[in-house]
Amino acid sequence: MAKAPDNPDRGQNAAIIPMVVVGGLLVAGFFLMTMFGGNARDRALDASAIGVKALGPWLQQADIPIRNSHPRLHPAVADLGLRILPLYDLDLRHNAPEPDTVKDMLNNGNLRDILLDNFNDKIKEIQTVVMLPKWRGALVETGIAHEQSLIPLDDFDKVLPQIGLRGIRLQRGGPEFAVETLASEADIALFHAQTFNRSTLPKTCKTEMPFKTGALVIACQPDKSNHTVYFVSDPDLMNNHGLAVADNAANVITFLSGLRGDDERPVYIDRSPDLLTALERDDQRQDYKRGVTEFERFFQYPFSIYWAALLITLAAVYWRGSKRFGPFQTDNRNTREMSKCAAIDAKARLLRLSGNDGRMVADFVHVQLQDLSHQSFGGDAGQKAEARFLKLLRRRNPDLAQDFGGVARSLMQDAPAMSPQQLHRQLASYHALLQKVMEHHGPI
Amino acid sequence: MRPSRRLIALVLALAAATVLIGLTRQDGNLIAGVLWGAVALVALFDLLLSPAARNFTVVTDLADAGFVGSTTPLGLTITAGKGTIPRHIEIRLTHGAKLAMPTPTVSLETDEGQSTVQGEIPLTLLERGTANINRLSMRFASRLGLFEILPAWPLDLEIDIAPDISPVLNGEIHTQMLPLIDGLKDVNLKGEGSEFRQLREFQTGMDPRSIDWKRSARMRSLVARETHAERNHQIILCLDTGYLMGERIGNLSKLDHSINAALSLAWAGGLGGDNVGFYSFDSRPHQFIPPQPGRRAFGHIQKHCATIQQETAETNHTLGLTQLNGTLARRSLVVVFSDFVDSVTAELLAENLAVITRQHLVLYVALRDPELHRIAHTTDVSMDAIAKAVSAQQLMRERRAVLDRLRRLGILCLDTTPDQLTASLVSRYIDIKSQELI
Repeated sequence: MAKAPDNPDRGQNAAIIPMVVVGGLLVAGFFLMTMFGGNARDRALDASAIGVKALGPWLQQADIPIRNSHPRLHPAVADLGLRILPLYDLDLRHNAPEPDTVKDMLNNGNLRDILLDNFNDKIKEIQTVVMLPKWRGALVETGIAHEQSLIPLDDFDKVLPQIGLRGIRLQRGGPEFAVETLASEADIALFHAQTFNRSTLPKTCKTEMPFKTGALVIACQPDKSNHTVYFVSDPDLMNNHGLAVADNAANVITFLSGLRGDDERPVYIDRSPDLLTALERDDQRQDYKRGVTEFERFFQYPFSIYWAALLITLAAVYWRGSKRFGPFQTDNRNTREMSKCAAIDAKARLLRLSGNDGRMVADFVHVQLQDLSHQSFGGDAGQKAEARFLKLLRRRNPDLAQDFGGVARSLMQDAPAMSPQQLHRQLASYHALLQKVMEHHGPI
Repeated sequence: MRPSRRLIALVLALAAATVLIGLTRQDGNLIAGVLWGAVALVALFDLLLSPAARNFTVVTDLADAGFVGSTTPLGLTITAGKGTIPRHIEIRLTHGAKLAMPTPTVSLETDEGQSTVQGEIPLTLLERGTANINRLSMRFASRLGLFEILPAWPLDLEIDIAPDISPVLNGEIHTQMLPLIDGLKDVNLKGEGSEFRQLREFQTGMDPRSIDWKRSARMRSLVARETHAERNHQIILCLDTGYLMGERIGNLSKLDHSINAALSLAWAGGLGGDNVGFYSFDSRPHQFIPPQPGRRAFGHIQKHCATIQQETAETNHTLGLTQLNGTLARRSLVVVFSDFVDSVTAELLAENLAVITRQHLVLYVALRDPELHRIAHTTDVSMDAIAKAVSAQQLMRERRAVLDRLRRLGILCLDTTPDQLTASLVSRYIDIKSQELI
């Protein structure tokens, strides 16, 4: 009697490497899942007081067709009439660092980074209404519009030149709501109203919607672009909480309807910093810059969870595959047996390929009758073997002998001329009769 | 330990769900995270509940020796250090090619609450020599079935596998040889043969030709000569150990079947009073054990047979049989255990056996493959099965033709299945002796 070692053999070195790989994959999977989950902040921003999620339903209610941006849908530019682009970035050339503390988050003015190239492409594609930023992250986080949550006007020094408003200054109203009644007799009410200083407007820009002492909306004609860009100085005119104030919503609808004119194409509410629209490009070579940003998109939602799921699945499958239960499964069949079986199979295949199934069956039946004869009489009776055996069978069971002999003779003589179906039927009846014969004579 | 199929299925389902979440929701990180986290927690919980691999000890019990072709049990006692044994355990063994398990995996079922389980794994001994068992691997499911725990223990178990002489040990050969053995049970062959045994009083019914007239005259009564089969003949067991003898029929190779039958015949020859020698050959001749009387010969042959190795080269019948023919001076019964593929490869075999037959009596022993017979006599009526049957019948026909040719050359042939080989061979030996063919 032998006792196995107390501790099971763990195959130490062989087991450690797969476990390290599995651990690495698992950690990487969960890291991806946790680190690249930044899209929640975007959704929170859209749903917050300064988001534009409510603008779509408002416009639809006024029978203005809209289309919301979707990260995986790429509408053709030709299908869109007007783009509404809310801006939450104070420096389009650089990405703002992620806020580390709550304080940073509250003071953050760059709530959604957008690349300058993307911005320029967007305003060049179609007629665009750009909503300038006004509030910092505190409003998103706390939901309270306080004077201290406003972005200081000095912070606009970078963004205004970048978006083509070089030299234009912004100004803000008092701490209470400022109300302006337009020609349509609809009031516009804005909290800490933010407007363009009319005196700073260049020749390429003109006031589209005045407000008190300034311009609430200006229309500018950028260089090398066929489309006019409308800049809304105060986003509260169109954002979630501003639409519900006074007659802002009615004014917005009137304003946008005027911009659209007879155009039936939908208004594109572009909440994405990415260039999602698809341009019909000609076949000429298109040069564009590739950067780290393109690569980073592979790790943004939803790819982040795809990679994570893939890594975790790979880890689980690899883990299972790396541990074997018992020895290797080997093919224990003896090669010599296999060679004999292979020879029989090969010869059988050749017989089938020759197309002489009938003759093959005739030979088969002939040999079986010879075996039966040999079993009954011994020795080799030669050509008379079948006749001798059938004679013996006739003495014992005349009916069976007649049936069996008839089918066997038919197969031996006529099988080459039979159709496959007929051959199969005859063979089936031959086997049925052979079983009865063997009941008398024992197996062949 | 590794994830079970259940956990893999769960992970794959979750991966599919994650893809769906990514496609349908703009922010599905939280949902996906919750789902994956829940599975990770359940898996962790499962691991904490399950017994560890090091919790078990295994005691094994294996016989020191066994006969080739027989089955011997490997006793197992598995004990849990803490807690109980899982309800369902699977066992696999890592062993050499000389052993075989009926199924690669053996299952042990236990009752709830048991801390020890005992079981036996039947091992079939396939080849002569020393067989090893190197490792025992166990598998059982974790408590929730999300993991498979895979403890394994290195083993150092050996079993010596000897040629099967059970027909000798259990008296089967002795019983079969009783007609030839002197003594109270010497019943059948007395009076046959040519060797004088004794004089006895003539009884009515005895062959009058057996009357010894000279002694009858001296005794003044009729006295008959009683004879019996001749003794002290030479029997040479000639074994082909070449490539073709390695073909396996049932559990054993043709060589092992032949060795088993040859040893039984050696024992029978000893009981019959003959001298038994041994000779083996493949691509070249091997050791020749000169004929010796009785059990001494059996001991030598048994010892030698245990060491015979299977050759992978083709057998050189000319060299092997010519060498034997030159060695034998006295007329002998040469029992040749060999094989052939078809009539062409059997030519040299037939020619050389014909040469030996001039001086010796040759008994050619061929092993019939029941599998070939099964294919040839199919009950399937499909054309593929018929085609295989016809090609198998052709092989059998060729084989029969070769055996017929050998018979016509005056060579005795024994073509039988492995399970009937020993009995048929001893029976043929008795016939040869009684007919005084040697």
